[in-house]
Amino acid sequence: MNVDAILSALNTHDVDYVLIGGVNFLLNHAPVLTFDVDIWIQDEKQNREQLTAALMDLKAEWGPDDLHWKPVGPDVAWLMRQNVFCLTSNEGAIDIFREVKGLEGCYAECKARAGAKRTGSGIQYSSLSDEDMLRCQEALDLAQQHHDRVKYLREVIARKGQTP
Amino acid sequence: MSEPQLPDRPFTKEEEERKRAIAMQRDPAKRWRLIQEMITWAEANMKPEHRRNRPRQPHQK
Repeated sequence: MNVDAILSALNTHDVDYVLIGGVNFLLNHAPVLTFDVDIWIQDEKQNREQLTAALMDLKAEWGPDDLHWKPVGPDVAWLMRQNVFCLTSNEGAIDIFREVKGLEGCYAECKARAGAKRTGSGIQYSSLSDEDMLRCQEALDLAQQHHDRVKYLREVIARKGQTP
Repeated sequence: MSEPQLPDRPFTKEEEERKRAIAMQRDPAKRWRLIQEMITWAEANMKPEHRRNRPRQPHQK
């Protein structure tokens, strides 16, 4: 998976997004095994169009079922079907979230708290804050939580002297 | 503000992951390439103290 290429495509098309999930945790904290890039998008029409253009550049594929799995095309209507999509692409697996459990309706606030950071090779990305990462983990069922990440984030936040 | 949307059915994420897993199995070589690339990328992007392939310190065996 080429995370830099995925983030670059989003940046090139001016997609308003926040990097969440395992890759964001890995970049900011500690190694975790993850094989997809989790992207939370600002859920408005123009942004969905820009996202679709980026996904076409990445030769992303998605389908409503196994039989209709196909390359993402210019029609953005598919993005209205549900809140989360798991895609393949030439650069790796991508999860698109229009809404994130635990952070519903808070994209603008989370984006404001997100840090503007760079990967090791200098690709800029917007990074979900530690506090918001913890919020979305804690909103999951216990069986779905990444307990190692929760523990790590609580310790990091406690050291910063902040409350989540 | 978000536009109206269909509520997610239960297990939407699980169903999405299942479909993608099947799609990725159609090209095992690509799947393997992406896994190797992820490991390489992660190694390059982790903090130095977390890298497995870092130079050994004198006190390390």
